[in-house]
Amino acid sequence: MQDHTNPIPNDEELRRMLREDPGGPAGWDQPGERVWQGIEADLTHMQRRRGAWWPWIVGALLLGLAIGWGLLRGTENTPGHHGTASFAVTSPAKSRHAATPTTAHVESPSNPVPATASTDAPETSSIKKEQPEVATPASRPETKAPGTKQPAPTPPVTAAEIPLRAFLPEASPSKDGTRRSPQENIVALSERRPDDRPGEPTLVALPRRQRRLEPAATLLPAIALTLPIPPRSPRPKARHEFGISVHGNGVSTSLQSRQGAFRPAEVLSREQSAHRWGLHYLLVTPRGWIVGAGLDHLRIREGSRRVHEISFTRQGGVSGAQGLSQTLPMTMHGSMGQIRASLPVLILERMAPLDYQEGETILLNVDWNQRLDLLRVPLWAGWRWQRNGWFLEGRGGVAVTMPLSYRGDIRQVREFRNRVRIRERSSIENPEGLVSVFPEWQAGLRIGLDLWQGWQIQAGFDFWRSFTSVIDHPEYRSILQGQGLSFGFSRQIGKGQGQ
Amino acid sequence: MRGIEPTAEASLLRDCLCGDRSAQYALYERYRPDMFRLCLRYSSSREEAEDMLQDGFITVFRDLDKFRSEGALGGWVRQVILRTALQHLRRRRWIFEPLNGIWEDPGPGLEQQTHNRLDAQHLTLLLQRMPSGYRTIFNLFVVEGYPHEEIAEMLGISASTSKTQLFKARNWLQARLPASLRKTN
Repeated sequence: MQDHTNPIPNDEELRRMLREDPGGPAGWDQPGERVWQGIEADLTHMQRRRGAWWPWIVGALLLGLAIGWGLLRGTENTPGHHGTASFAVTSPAKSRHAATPTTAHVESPSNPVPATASTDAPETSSIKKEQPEVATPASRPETKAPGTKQPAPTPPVTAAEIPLRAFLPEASPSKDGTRRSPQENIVALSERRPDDRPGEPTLVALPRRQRRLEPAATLLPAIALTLPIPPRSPRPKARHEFGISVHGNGVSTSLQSRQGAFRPAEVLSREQSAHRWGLHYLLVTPRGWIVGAGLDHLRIREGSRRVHEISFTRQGGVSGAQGLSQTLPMTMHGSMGQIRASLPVLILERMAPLDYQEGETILLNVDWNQRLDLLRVPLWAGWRWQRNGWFLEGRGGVAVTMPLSYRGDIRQVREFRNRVRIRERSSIENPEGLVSVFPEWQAGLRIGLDLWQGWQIQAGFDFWRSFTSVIDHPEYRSILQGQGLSFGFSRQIGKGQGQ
Repeated sequence: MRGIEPTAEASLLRDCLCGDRSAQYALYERYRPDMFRLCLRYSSSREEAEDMLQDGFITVFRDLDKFRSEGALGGWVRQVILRTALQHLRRRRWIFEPLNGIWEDPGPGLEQQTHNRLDAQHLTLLLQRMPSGYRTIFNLFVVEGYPHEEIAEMLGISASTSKTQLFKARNWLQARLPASLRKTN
């Protein structure tokens, strides 16, 4: 007796049949060779790219740090803004008080400063062309102040014992022919280093009482010795900028075969666009050199229409009594990787039993819309010319780019003798052959304007291009490149001056 | 599922982790039939099953270093392939848009092919023609043995939806099984 209320085998029987009983003709449960070929290709690709990610990132960061450090170091060691008149002060190392007899020497090869002594302090100064390694009172000419008692000879002082160098910042000729600082009554002090290079200078304002001593510049060092050294120097510093920018890029891709040009014949049209936004950091040195890094999100869209002519056979299909179902494996090469799609096709013999002959051509229109999201880590170096709140900047650099996600929407319309028309859509999120990281180079021009409180607005033009192919395929390669306008805001941090 | 000797399995695993291609192929060969049958049950076509299998084994080899030896390798491989198949189903949503009333469900047709017998192949072919939602839940509940709560969690649906889909899947199967094969309980 048949029980039609529960006609199917029970769950346990079904489970046993499906999981344990091979059943069916030999080979029905064996996949095709293409499966292992695909796995093997992916394993090869995986092994090749394994470990290739972090060296790029680390290398790029190290390069950026090296450039930044080099620029900073160059800025710090450039005494360009600190006077042409240099004074070496010789004194007993510990005597930094006015009560202690002090001897000041002037070292000024390019700016001979008149050794004018008019002070109430019992001090002696002289002019020297070269800084002596060992200075003794007998070896240098001295100007004695009239009516003063000759101080007791001081022991020889070596350069290493001289604690300070003093010089006038930005000395320039004054009306009376002497040189004085444009910032009058200011003297710069710096610690003497063992290698005799000037250390980081500190500007010291003279007390009001001593400003009357002008232009007795030769005495400034001696006077300066009596002054406390302020903790910070107001010299021009490098400036930091943080900003956000948006880029509208036209993008173009070129899919080429390794041997030469490759033009997929079936591509009827293609539209591409890209936009990018990102955060950036810039270091602007006082001389206008810039170095920067950033983090960008880049989205590329590409839409293409292709036409395929396909035909079907019963082989490989699943045939039923009233229909023929077949899956058409299709591989499409694109500039953002290749995708494999298994397009299910059902030929409705029941509806048109006499129309379709095996092998007959069906026109297949495929619209392929791709969206690729990328993360970029750009590093720049360049130079900025700045005047009256405006700046013009040229920059170039490299970037490391990593694909984040991909989405390909395929819409296909099949037409057969103008009678059968079927639309299908599918989404694919894992293209094959897209490399995990690729390098780019970039260049750009920018113009900007200071707005208020350190805010800047800027616009420019950028160009970028991948160094290497963004797809890993033995036959094809794809180079991504883009160009377009950018727009952004940035905020200055720090009180440094540009040029 | 046929297993492997523990020592041989450990050796195979070690060689696979070292990137030995022949060991990787041996592992693939070992589990290929079972895993392909699994993929066939979850897919609507042989080609789709091959795609699932390929993606699944790529994931297996990629994550092989995460396998802990407490369990059987075969069970772990099965879990990975199953998870990949489900991801595959979520990713590929084929939407058929009928125009001018051309598209219709072809309806029962396998019945004549079964020639009054039911084996794993024909049952699999029948499952492939089952609507995707029914098929997934039927497989997970009946074949894999997951409870509805766990299925609901895996697929992001409610447990009641899972039960409903299973009920419909049973009815769908019942309507398409040859009458001579219907089970007498």
